[in-house]
Amino acid sequence: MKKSLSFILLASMLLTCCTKEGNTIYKPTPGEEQPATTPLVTVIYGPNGLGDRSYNDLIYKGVEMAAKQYGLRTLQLAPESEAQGLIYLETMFRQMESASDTVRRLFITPSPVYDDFIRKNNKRLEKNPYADLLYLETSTPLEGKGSTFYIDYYGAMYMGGCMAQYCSNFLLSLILANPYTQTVVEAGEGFEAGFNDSPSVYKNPITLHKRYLSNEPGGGFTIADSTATRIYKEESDYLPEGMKKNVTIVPICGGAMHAFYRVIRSMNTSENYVGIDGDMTVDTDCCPYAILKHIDKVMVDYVGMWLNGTMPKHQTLGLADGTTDAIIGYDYKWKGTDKLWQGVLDMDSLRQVAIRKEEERYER
Amino acid sequence: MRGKMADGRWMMWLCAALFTIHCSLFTSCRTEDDKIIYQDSRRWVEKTVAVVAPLNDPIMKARLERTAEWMLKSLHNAQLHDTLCIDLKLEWYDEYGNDLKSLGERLANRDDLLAVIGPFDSDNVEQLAPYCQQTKKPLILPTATSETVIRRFAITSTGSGQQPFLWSLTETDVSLSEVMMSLYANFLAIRGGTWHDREQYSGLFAPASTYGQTFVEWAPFQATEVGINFITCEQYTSTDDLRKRVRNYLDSLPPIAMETAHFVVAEDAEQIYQIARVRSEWWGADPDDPSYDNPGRNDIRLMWAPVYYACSNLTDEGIQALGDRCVALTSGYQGFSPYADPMTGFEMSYETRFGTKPTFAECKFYDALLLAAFASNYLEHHQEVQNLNDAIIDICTTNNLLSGFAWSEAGMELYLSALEQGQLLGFKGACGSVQFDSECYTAALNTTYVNWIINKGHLYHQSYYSTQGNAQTSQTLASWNYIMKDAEKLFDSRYKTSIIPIDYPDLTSQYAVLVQGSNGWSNYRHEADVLSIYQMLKHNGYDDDHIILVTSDDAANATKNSDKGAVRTDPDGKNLYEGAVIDYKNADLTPQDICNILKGVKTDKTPVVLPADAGQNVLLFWSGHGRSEAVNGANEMAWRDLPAGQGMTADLLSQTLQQMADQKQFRQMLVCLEPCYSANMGAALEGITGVLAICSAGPYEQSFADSWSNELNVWMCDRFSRNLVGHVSSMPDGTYRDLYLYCAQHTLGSHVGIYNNMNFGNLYATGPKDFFVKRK
Repeated sequence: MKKSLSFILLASMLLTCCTKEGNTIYKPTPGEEQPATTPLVTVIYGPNGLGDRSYNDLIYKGVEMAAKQYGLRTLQLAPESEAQGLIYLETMFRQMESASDTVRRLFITPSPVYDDFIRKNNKRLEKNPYADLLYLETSTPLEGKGSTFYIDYYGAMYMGGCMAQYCSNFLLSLILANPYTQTVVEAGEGFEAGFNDSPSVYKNPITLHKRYLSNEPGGGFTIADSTATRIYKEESDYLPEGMKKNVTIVPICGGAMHAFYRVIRSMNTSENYVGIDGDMTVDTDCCPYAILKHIDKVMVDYVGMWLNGTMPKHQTLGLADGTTDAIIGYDYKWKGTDKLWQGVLDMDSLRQVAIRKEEERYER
Repeated sequence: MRGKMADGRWMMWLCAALFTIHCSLFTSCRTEDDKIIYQDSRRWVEKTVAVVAPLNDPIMKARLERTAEWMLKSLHNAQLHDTLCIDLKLEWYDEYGNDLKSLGERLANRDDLLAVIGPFDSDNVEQLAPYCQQTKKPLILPTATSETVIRRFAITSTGSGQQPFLWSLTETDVSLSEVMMSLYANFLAIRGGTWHDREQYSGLFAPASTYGQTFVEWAPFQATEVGINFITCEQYTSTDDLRKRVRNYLDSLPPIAMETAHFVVAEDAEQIYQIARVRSEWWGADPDDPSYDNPGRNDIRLMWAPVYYACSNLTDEGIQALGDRCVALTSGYQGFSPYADPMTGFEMSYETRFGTKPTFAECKFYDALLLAAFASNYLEHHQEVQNLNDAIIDICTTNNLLSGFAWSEAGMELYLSALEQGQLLGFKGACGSVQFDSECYTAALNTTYVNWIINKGHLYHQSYYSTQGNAQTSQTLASWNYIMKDAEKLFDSRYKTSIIPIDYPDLTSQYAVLVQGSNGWSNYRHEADVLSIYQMLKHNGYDDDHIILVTSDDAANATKNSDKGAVRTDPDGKNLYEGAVIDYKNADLTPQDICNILKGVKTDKTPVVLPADAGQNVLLFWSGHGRSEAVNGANEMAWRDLPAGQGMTADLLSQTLQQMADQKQFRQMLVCLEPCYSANMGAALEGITGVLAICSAGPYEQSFADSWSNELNVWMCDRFSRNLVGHVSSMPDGTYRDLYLYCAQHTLGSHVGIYNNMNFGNLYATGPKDFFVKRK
């Protein structure tokens, strides 16, 4: 708590630049270089979220791209725990609600672990017309100040499920973080629906096996490499001897997916995992295709809208507007089972079907 | 629990109240009586840092300059809220274009210079660092990773009353080597099957330099720990030499060899390209013919015979500059480099800014500048702090990490504002936490390693590793912890066998033959090792008539010995030379003469020899240099400056002891060998009844020195010998098992081994007391 006291006090120092002693006010010499008044975008990630090489890193890159494009300052903080993250949040909110300058500030948090704090405190920012809030992803808009958006992953995942029939190993393991987080649940359902709606391409049908990493709400987003190895081996046990490596992992589990990537990559075998969020196919041919969430581009767009005052209160994005997609890895072409590239599956038609499925579900 | 929560809420209210008061101080309204005075709101203090960097490489020069420009601009902007600001100026020097000794002397003696950053190359650090050491000029090393250099100038320079001056921002290559070995071990383990039982034919190739030495010294040890078997460990002198050595290695592999990973410590992209060509030729393909290019085939080759590189500072432009064939042939090759923690975001920000990934050197250079700037700022604010070294200690040993990443402009702003307000926060730089061990300060505690792979001329980062591991980096295998934990199990599995008891005669006498095989000032430690054993025996009741002492006898009164007349194993240790009765100077003997001493053959040169007594125990201790057949062409303990093959060879020692055993010249004989590769000597003694050998190092391993003296400029003893003496002195009644376990656990860097126990006796039930303590 002493730490939080220090941090809150020092952050508040950044707000002012003149001092007063008795009846004397000291002001900077005219013409002296002054601190920048360029807009500041602050992002506070979920605990240990940054460096995941997928969702959070794409947000980071998006914010940095926006900063480069629009000439902004950024402060991107990656707390080591939820408690530390909440201290950062409190500090930033205090700073924004009490700032007496006209520096424009956008505060972004992409983590659901702060949902309670955001919904209880967002009205505090209404005191400062130069401060704004963007909270993602949620399908429930904020009451009061602040914007939100939600990316519907169902359609892209539906595409991924269809594609799995063409380029998976004998066992397709759908690894979900938990059965409670909305984005995870919808993504899993989309993938399963796509898989089940597509006919089997091979003589021996691919088996889809689903499992959760955690039974706790919000759990399952980080695991150790040893756990990933154990899970992979447990999944392999569903296969007969001699075919143990014929597993394809679909890790819909946030940062935990990287543990699977590390473990699988070290085996140097192909078709072992599906890329999620980021385009993992460029890294290695262990990954035949990827299901993408272009959150980086969304961030550039949102920062731009914020700057020109058109940031929407809430919107849902998805496959139809290009925020999500599924793509085949370029290097996958040379593989023997390249039915996707032979045109057996028409990707454009599949995309249209998936868009329709996503819309139907959204309307429901 | 409830009490704690209540306390927490109280503190939050206090925070809020103080915050409100604080804000009101600065935002109170102006009244009519107020007088406005204009003044400069901040004072700039100019500080100069010398950067000694590889400016001969145009790519690296451009990258370092743009990194510096970015950092300095961020620093400038970040301080505009403060009243006291550091204006950091850089002076650039090419570490390859200067006489580093004269440059070091010049820079170290300049009072106007805040610190020196660099050199980046470990070999160059070795030249420049002594001058900074003399004046305690802060020397911040971004990328020097040689274990010997860091240990010599950093860790051992910080005893009581000594001030650290060297700040190494990267862990030594002991860690990098471990990461490399671990990944292959993991690959083998995950691949499954019976790989442990299969023959392995791994090899290591490292440059013959200070930089490469760490890998040569540590990789064989680590490989053994994680179950990888080396068949060769070589040092190359040039790219052409490397080509030849790798080709010879590949040609030497059996036709059906499966486990054939080779590990190459490469210095640049050219070497990776050349090895790709060699491998292509080995597979029967023409490296210049694009029709042979086949990614699938290359993948299979890499799975069959993987090659792992330790190579830092590779760049896309560096690979592409070598042409299309390089781009095609190097695709799929992977390796490791120290790097930035992906959780800092630095890599991504750099990539956004410059369109390419930063090199290891740039990441660490950024942090070096950050460290100099922050420490300088702290120093300006704290007049009680005497110098920059002390300031670095203060700012890098706090465990308050609340401020988070301080490398970005806004992050610096927070950190420096805290300093201005008297708050000291910990900080994370571009590469992660900038922290040093609180005891020896100068060794970095955290380094992240990246596993890179080349694909079509571009570098991709596959995964990240770190010693401690975190949410986004895998923990490197702490391989020596394995033996620390499992040494007992290992010993049980190897030695707890049903040994047929040997009917030894009663003990009648105890003798010791202590031999130093080397000479010269740089081998001070070997003489100290031998004298240390000698003094222990004397302390334990031996008289000089029962010790035959052979040394070079050139250390105590050497002109370089400022501690005239003394030989010690520690700066504060006792004088081991005092009272020592030296029977022979090794300059007067040959290895054959040592054999005569052992066999009891008196000659003009060897008037003092062992008696022949079937009831006597004989301790043979040898310290000096060792050679191995694989590396030097002969398994032997070197004799002074004689060339390979003229030392105490494994065959000569084996024949001598066998003859002594046949002629019943001893009851039991304990052979303790300090030299490198001494396992080869121990293995040669297998089968000789009554002989037990304890050796300091495996067949491909070096034996390590210990305790560097800044005063004398030499190593003062060896690790195995120190542990041997230490354990026997503290546990004279311990068993052989106890002795082995202690030495195995404490002799880091090499594998202590026991040989010929099947022909000696039960190691659990008996101990070495009858060799080290005189019976009354």
